[in-house]
Amino acid sequence: MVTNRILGVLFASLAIAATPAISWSHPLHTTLAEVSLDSDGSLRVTLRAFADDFSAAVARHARKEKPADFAVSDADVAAYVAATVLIHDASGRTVPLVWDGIRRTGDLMWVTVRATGVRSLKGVRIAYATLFESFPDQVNILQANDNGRRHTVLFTASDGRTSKSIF
Amino acid sequence: MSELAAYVQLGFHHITDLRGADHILFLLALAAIYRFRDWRECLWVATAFTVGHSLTLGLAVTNVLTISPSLIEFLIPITIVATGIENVLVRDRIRPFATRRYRPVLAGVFGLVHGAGFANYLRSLFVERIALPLFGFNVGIELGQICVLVLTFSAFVVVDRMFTLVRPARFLWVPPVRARAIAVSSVVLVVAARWAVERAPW
Repeated sequence: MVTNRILGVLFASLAIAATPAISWSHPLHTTLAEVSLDSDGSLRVTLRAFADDFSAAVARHARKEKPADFAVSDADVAAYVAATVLIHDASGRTVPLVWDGIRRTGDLMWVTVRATGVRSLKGVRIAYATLFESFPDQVNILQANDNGRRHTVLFTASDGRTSKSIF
Repeated sequence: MSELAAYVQLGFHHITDLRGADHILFLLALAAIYRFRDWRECLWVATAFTVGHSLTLGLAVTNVLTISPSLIEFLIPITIVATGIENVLVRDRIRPFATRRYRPVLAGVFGLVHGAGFANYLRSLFVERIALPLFGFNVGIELGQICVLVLTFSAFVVVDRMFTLVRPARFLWVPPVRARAIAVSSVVLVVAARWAVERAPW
């Protein structure tokens, strides 16, 4: 019994010394983007992210203070999305994104952008690096829908700005 | 990649990520008392944890159950502390009741607490269709747990062997498994106790 106590105290002391190095946090750092082709020939990307993390990242990107109520300007959001979501068409050309709008429901922000002149999802490659600079454990989920066919691609922080084929 | 595979991968990634160590620490505490040949028993306990975990996750994401996130953040390390204390205090693991009956129940109950931990994230993100993400996420968690346990038991075999070879004379009567259980539990217990204090809702 005494030996057990000695062992316990010994390892507890080690643990106290090691605790600051062990991270507790276990939130799910995830965003979700849905990609589809509209009838007008534009590729629509709707990105949903948690408002607190997303607005903080947008403000940091715009070199502004973190907003108290998650209120960020459309221009700042558009600039951040353009910097972290890169769409390449089948020829490898980077397609510019056009702002379409933002809304907030509960904890989430929903951002929609469009890329015009993309006739097919085949051959399209996307880099989806949103919040990678904020969280090393960030995982972004991209769901591409093409006439009922659904394909899902995961992006982790180690992917950086590497683009991946969505079909 | 299919949608299901993506969510399985997400769950697996979530559980095996060393940067969020609460889940791994709980598995370490659960596994600390077992020998390699007890792997079936340990897997049964870990599965009971997953069942409890899946239950509250499912109830919380479908809005059947609403629990304060700050309370859950506090209770999760408390479950780890409780498991560590149980490991240290219960010495007689030979009697069937001691290991075979209440440990899976304990793990299942503690799983209920852990499952509520990230329900808010899943519920918010997958507002339209939750069934497939939830199922895939849980499968990924179970697979991740199995991988963590395999690595844990491999490490335990090495630690037990080392302790057998190099233990000081005064510890000769302590079985290596018991010594390892105390060592692992003490470390886990202290780390989790500190988290609990930091997360206390008062």
